[in-house]
Amino acid sequence: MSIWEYANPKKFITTTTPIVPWVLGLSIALLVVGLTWGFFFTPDDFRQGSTVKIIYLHVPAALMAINAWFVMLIASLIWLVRRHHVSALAARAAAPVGIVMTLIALITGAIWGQPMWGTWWAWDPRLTSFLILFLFYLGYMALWEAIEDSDTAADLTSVLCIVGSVFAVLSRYAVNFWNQGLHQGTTVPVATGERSISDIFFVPLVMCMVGFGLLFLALVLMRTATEIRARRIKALEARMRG
Amino acid sequence: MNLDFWSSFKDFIYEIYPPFWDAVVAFLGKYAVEVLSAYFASIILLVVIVVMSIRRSRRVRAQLTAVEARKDKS
Repeated sequence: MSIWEYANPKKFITTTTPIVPWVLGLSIALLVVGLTWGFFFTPDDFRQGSTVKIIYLHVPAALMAINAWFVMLIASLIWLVRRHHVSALAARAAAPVGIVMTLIALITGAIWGQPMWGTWWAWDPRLTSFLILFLFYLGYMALWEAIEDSDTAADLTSVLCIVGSVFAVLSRYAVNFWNQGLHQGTTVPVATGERSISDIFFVPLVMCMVGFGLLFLALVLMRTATEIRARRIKALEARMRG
Repeated sequence: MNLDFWSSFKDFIYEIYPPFWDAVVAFLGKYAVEVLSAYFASIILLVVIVVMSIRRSRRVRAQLTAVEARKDKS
């Protein structure tokens, strides 16, 4: 069995429809447990006080905001190379979820930054690249809506997605590149495994990260199926008119 | 936005129901408003995207059924 079988819209819908409620349910359960655990059953940080509890929202949301863009990038490249409509629609479906994750990361970051740094916002490399990523999400969604022909829209948004990937990479690695600004480095570096966080905070954080990841997956699968159906409606109506 | 805004916001929240707020401050300390605001804003955004996705999915599915029925008739 090849992965490209799922590029068939019918196959994609019949395969994903039954699993979406399970993935969505699991993600909500993980988020409820992870956030409750983090909020009620973890101690305050000796320096940051109770604001450390914002980590359970800020870090997973920021992680997913960047990863959502990479998912869109892969889907866009598949569209550009293999012309599978499902991949273009998956990229389109991921954008609203990604922008919500970016917005959560920006809002919680500002709320966290105010008491810790004494400012809501600083033109720090990571914060600035994250804001630009947010603007790219807006531009990407606006471009999809602005172009009538869906194939042309998919082509142009794919190119925009490739360009915006620079800022997705910068959002993650800006601290390492420039080594300046207010924002700290990565809390959980996947490559080295040397995390700068105690187990007390780490376990609920991982639960929230997995929860956010599964929520993203469930929403993208659901929204891709919706996009496929909306496209079929358009095609049927055009056929009936003609 | 500045610190005056934040202080007024804290006062406003306190006025809504002081006993609740006293309990929250006892648990979260002086950063109670910051922590609660972050959770409130994030949970609202997550609920909005989930509800919107489910509603649109149901609406489009119903539309497709109606269009397919119309196509079969014609």
